[in-house]
Amino acid sequence: MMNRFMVGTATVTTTVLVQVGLLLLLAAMVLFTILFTPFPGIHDAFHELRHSLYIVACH
Amino acid sequence: MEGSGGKLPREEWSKEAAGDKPRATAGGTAFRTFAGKIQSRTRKQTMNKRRWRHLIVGLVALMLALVPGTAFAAVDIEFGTDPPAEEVIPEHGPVVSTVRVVDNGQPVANAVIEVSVTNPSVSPLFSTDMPMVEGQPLGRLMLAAPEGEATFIWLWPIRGDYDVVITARPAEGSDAAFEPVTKEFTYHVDENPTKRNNLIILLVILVAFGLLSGFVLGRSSVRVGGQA
Repeated sequence: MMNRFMVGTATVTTTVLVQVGLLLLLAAMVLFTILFTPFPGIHDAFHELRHSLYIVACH
Repeated sequence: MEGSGGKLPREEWSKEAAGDKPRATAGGTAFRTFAGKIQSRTRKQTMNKRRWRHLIVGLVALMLALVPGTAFAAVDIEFGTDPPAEEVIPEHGPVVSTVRVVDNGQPVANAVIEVSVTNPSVSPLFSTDMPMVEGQPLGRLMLAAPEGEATFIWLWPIRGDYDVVITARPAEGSDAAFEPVTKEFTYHVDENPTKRNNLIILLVILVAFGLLSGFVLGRSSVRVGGQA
């Protein structure tokens, strides 16, 4: 007996407000990850960048 | 009563002494008048002498106060850095700090200098890159200044106003004799201009990204609306 896989494409339509919200959320997550996360792997990689910005705390 | 007993009531004497015109009376009045004038002159002269004395004392005190370092000489502390504070960049160095103990501009030998530095407190909204050290003591040094001058080298870690408290006292067992003196300085360090420029670049990038995103989303929204 063979397994049957169904392949399809779903179209999702969102309003502009949701799109803008998602974009802002994505930008905030990226900025937080680069500039403020304490996770050592990421923190060390962007150490110099944090120190080179005027108002971003590091230590 | 007048002229008979040779005595004048106390009120009359006081009037005469005050310069009132004496009354013409018979018998000894001329003498009293003369005596009153002499007494009046003597008092006036005493008053004038006092005034002159007060005036001279006041003038001398004023002159002494206006000429610094002649009569009120006191040990002073001078603090400076090389390069000067305007050119100092946080975490860049070395910065040579010099403390001088002077008396009328001349170094005071055999002094001991204590330096205490506290880091600046910066607003939490605009933190420095090292908020852990903000407002914390940066260091405390005890320096011997046999020639009245001591230097030390360190890096000023963050931007802001440092609180520098310096105390100078005579070294124990030395012939230096002056009262220990403490002076407080505010040492301002500006932020690295490169960091400021980097922040501006980051903000420009974020604004550009926001505008571009808004343009793309807005255009697609109009197209979808037009098709519908």
